[in-house]
Amino acid sequence: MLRRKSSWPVEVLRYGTILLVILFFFFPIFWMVLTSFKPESAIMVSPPQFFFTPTLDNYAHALVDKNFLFYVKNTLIISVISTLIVVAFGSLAAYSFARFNVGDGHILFFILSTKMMPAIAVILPYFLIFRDLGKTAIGKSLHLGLDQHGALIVSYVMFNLPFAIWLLVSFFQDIPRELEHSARLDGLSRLQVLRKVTFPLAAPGIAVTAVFTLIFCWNEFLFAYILTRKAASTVTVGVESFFTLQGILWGPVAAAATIAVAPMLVFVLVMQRYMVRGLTFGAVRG
Amino acid sequence: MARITAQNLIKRYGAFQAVHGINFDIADGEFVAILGPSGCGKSSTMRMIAGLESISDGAILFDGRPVNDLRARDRNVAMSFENYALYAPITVYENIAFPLRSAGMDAASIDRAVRSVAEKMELGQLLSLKPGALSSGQAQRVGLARALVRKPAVFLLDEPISHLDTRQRYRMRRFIKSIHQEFGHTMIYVTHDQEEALALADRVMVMSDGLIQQLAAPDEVYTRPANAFVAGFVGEPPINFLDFTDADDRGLTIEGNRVALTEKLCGLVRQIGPRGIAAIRPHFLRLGGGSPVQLRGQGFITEELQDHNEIFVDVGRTRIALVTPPGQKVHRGEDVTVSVDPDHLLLFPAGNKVREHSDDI
Amino acid sequence: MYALIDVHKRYGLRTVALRKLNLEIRHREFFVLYGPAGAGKSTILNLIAGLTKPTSGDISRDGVSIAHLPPERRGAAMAFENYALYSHLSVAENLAFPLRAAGLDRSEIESRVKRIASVLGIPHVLDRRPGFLSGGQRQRVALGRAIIRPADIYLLDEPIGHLDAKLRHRMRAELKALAVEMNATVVFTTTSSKEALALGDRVGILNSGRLEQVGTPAELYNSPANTFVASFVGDPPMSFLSVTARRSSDGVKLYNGDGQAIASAPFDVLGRTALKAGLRSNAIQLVDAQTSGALKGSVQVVEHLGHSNIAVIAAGGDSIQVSLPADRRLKPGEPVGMIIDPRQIHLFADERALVGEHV
Repeated sequence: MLRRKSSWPVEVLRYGTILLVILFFFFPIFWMVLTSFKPESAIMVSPPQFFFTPTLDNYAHALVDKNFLFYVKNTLIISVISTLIVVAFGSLAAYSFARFNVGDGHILFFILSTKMMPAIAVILPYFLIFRDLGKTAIGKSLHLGLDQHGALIVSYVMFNLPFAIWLLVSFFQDIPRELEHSARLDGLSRLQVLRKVTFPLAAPGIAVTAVFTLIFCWNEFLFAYILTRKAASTVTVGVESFFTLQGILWGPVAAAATIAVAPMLVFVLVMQRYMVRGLTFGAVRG
Repeated sequence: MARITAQNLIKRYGAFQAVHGINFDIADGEFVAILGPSGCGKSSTMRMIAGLESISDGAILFDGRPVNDLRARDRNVAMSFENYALYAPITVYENIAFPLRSAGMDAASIDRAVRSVAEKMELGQLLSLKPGALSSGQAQRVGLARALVRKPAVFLLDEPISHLDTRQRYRMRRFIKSIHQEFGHTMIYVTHDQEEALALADRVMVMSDGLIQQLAAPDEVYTRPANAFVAGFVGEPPINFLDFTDADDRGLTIEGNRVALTEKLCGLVRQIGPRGIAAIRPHFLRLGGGSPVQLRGQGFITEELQDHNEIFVDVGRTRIALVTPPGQKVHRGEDVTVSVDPDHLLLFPAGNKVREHSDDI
Repeated sequence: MYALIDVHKRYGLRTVALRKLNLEIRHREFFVLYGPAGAGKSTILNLIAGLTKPTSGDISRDGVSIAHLPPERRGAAMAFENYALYSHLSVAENLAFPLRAAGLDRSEIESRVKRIASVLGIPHVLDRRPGFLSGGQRQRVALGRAIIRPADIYLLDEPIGHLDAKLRHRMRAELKALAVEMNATVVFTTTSSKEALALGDRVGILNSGRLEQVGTPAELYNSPANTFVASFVGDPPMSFLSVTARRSSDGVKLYNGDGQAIASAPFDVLGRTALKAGLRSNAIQLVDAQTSGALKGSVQVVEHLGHSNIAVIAAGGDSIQVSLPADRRLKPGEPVGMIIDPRQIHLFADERALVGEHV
């Protein structure tokens, strides 16, 4: 195929299209942030207002009256712990799938197949399990009952582990076996090899997996909505609580949503560099 | 059939320039090998001829007609790839017929063309097999047959046999050569293997750093390399390079050995100056004295390759290799004298200076 | 001394890598495993190193079975074909890795790393990551990591296969000198006939998981056990002519597919069928086509290799390679005659070498 230099109308058209697509995807976020600074009178008017006197009332309402930071704290605890567990178990499981071909591929497929089930199909059993588990001694000590952190963490681990394993298997398969063989010959035990050679090399892949898991946990709504009431609720449920019988408080909703989204946005921007490296990761070869 | 001309051909990838304005003229029916290390621009050059890459500047002409704006499929060029690029689910017959079918030829003509090329390529028995059942040498022949069946004007081969084992390589090399003798296409063959290039081609185009270093017949490239790069890249075992100093009208000094020069080399020394690089092929060195050009050194190792020996000798700080008849040996550290065939002593300017060579058009 | 005894190795259910293999690596020898890609060379190294287990059979060291021992207790150091360098560590750290694992102290590690780097000509890249090295430099780091610590056996898997021709030629000599100096036992794999002949004290020729022949380079070159070995050892490879042996007025002679006599039979082969005569390219003298007694043929292809030419001559359905001086010019299609020295004919029946008293 010959590629020729494009003329300026083509260039204009190309960048115009790109701009439109960006606008389309970013507009909801932009509108959310804008709304969070609007006085109540300016929110629902038609045509929409782009210029107004900004106010922090909505943030005050969300943070002070509704104590929204409480939800942020819950979310942080639940997401981070879930992610740590997923990454720890996921990398060990993925390593054994990649290296020892455990189950000849069948188990790996079976694990992923659990992902094919819609969350709504399992939510009722989960609800019943945690309701009863919360009444047992072990359930109490591990906070596994309804409206407790443990229940959500377990749910998130169950839901994210299959995908994490699937993702990590390909990263481990990309690391040449010879790297481990060579370290074995140098006298390292299997576990030492894992710690000193394999995991450092797989670090970008593990980071990518952790990011995906964290984002999922942070944004999850259905499980959090059904399994918590107040004590263990996360930001998504927190935002939902602004939908009151008196009506939807759009200003505080926008402010709360902005607070909820901000940490993830910053986090992903920071991690972007590593994620790209992780996705194109490969060991040194010929 | 076509004559291929390149005029000030340039290839850029973004800011990186891969081919720096080269000129060449390949005669109709000629077999030219483009030889060079990876990244020298040989593949870019071939892909520009094929139309798989755009031409950044300059022109390529087929029979005097510029083809810059012709698409690959309109250039009537066939190309064979290293990995054969056969279609696995269909038979050998269908693979060979594929380019004709996509050109819309009628069934009877396709059958005639496929059977004729298959016979010449010794594939008659294999036509009903699927590619998976073929050996790598057979698959390679099918790949070549598919490229040839359309009767292309130009036949391009990109490292077609580099992954085969030694025996198959010898066989395929001869096969390709006999295809050329039989069909008479203009053929361009890209390789990094100097032996393949010398063995196959009418002329060898040695490339490095996006420039043509030399374009000449194999013997010429071997015995009269245009520069130190060509000298070093062509020849097996590789040529020996030694620094020389104190060159004047009568001789020069190589690693402490004062050496007398022939008339011809004296003229060269006047151009190069007092310092430079002396190059001598292992085949033109022998153990013992008796030549006006002698080097003293210490033996390093002897390799017995049965039909000949290769002997390594340390001359000053430089280790050189000699090809000798079987039976000759040196011991490690032993003092030895090495004689140089003065007719085959090559002198180059210091710093491995590479000079562009371009054919007049 | 390491030995593989009746070793059978399968990968999965179908892929057979080695079949009933018996091999002995002697103390302090440079042993070359030579064969085409996929012949099972790397599998043998992995078995000795303990990185993979034999499906059946035993592996022993000095007569004691080591098949059950983990890799770190086999006494083997290995260089891998794909380098196996740690991309997250610098060259110096890569080289130091085996020494750290062995628990050497810092100053000792540092001095050894420096020494090996200068032997291999890579002291200037010690601080770089492997990703920033050329292929040749990576290969030398891989080699360095294998030989940096003392081992009972060094397993080198095509350690110079990816270097350019010049470096490969130089490293070949240096590797051999180094092995002699270190008094080391080395197993080296290659796909190059030249490397096998140049380096090996003994060479094992491997084909589809079977050892075709084990011997010194001279044995393999002068008395190949079968046509596979004959065609694989020596460069250019041996040419084969299908021949029949018949009695003529002056003794038993070999006739090619055209019914032309190619030479007297070197020993009595009357009655043998599926006979092949193997000829090296330097065993044939090219003469004028009219010369009496010469085998007649016509030139197919002429290859110029710089220092010599190879002509491929078609005669009686066979293609015969003849080495020629560089200044000898021949044209395709030209008729030529060949005089063949009967003492240099290798005879094979059913692909196996025939041995007999030379007349």
